[in-house]
Amino acid sequence: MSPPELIDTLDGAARIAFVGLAKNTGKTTALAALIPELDARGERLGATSVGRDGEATDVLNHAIRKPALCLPAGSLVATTQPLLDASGVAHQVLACTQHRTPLGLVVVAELAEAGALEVAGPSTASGIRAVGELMLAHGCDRVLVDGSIDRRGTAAPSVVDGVVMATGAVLSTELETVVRRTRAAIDLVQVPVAADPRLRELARTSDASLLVTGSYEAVTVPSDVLLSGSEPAVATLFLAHPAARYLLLRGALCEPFVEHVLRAHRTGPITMVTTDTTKIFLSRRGRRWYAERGIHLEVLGHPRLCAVTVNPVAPRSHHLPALLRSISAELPEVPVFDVLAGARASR
Amino acid sequence: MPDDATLHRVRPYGDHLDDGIVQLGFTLPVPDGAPARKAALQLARTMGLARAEVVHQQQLTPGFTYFVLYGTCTATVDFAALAQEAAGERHMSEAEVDEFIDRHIGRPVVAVGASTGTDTHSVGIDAMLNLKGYHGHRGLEGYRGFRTYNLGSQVPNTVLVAQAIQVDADVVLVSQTVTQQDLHIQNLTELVELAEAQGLRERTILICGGARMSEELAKEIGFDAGFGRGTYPYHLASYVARELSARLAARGAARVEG
Repeated sequence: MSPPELIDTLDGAARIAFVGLAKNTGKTTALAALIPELDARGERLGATSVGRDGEATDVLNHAIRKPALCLPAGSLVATTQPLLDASGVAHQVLACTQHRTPLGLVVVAELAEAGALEVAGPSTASGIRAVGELMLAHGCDRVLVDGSIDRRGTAAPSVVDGVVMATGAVLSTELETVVRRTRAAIDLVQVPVAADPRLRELARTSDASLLVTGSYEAVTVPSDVLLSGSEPAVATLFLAHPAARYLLLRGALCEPFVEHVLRAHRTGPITMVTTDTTKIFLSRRGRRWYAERGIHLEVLGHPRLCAVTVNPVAPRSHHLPALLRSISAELPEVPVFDVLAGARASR
Repeated sequence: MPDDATLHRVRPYGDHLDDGIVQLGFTLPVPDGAPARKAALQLARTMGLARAEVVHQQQLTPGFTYFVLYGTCTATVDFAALAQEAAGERHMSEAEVDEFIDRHIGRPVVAVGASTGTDTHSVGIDAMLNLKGYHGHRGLEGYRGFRTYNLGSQVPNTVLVAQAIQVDADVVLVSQTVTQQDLHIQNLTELVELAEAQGLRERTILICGGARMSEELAKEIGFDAGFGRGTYPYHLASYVARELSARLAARGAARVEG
């Protein structure tokens, strides 16, 4: 049973990332609809974007109109100085950052009046974390981080506390494909957290990636084998260590490597542990498909998945009226909302 | 020659300075005649032209009429501000870039480039990186201040990132043909995410190039800069030299404070 409103799913998450499965899934629409609701509850908001928000039309297709970002007076915003100036909204700059973007230097400002503006914050996860902390330190109650296209780098536990995932008809003209891809993406952000204390201790104390046996003997794995190792290189690694039960990764887990491991000689299942879900790059097969073949994924931590929003409309293309119902049925464990219905209700 | 004050609000020049007179030519898919003339005048007024008049009108083929109109443009443009902006970001020549790198960076700048994913076009990255360059401007390979690695086309993101880590790249350049159906966009965002995951993002300047690339699109996909049509290697080299120098200075300052 889903809570009645998207806003009710955000409790306990001071910093929230809006992450989409693709462009035009409704990230900004969901965020924009929440702003007046959170404001009505008396929350002081801080907003930023890892991409660019509140622009009038889509950067690739100017025929697609984008939602504006309207912030109440007193809100904080992390965006570039030229965009603040262009907005015409009265504001006071609280801090200048070192984060340079193609659209200028990012500053943190307090709005002296309500207004609509374009928001472009830092482009990196660490930059978003820094401006989020800065806005909280300047007294805002809630930080809203908008995503960009299909980027999910902000959904790391060091950057945000909660994630709202946006999916929509734009993924495919076929309902089944949208549902299947959404299921796979939600599986990835909900990778189980590694519980084994000895494994977590190994991960905490090592700077390198490790191949670990059932009795916790560890050998270092060169990072280039994990990132771009050939199939023979991966096969050789596992021939030398057929009893490996765990792989602790410092960086990215890429699909070609996982496929090589699938074909390598092993004596049992293996669990691959990354620091968080933003380090996992699987696009051909889902987490469950690999689990059925003896490759399990775990992470050291991830932000809470608060909700999934659904946009049944693909701009200037098609409409999948049954999408909300299908996604809700496929994801019984997560609250699911129609992002357009939410936007309508807030007007 | 207009004075400085006029340069802040420039209007088109017709017969004398600041008269705002423009000439406009267009075809309407309507038969020649008085209603067609009225339609052309109304359209010109909607476009913001004052005192519009039709000075020429003729049938191109039955059902199509061509017009030439004169009118007065009421809008102005701040040329002085644009000129000042451009002066601030003046591009350096090859020799100036090399000298700048010598003085402010003190070692060669390491640049790794590729066309990634399924893109088979290598012309863009070759024009920027290879010695032979483009339109008589040498590529970065020819600069004393750059050490370049061109991985070619159809390079997987994993291979590009691995190579960038191996040679400790200062700059990663990606060339990609961007389409409205954003097939290539997802490949570019994956590169950004992969660079983040490998800890490369913070210490590398990520640049993408392509005919439809813009600063706005570069920001959305998470790159530090985007270069579009009309870019020459010295434009790229000027940006990279200044940006890297600024970053090294910021890092040095942080180290001193820390």
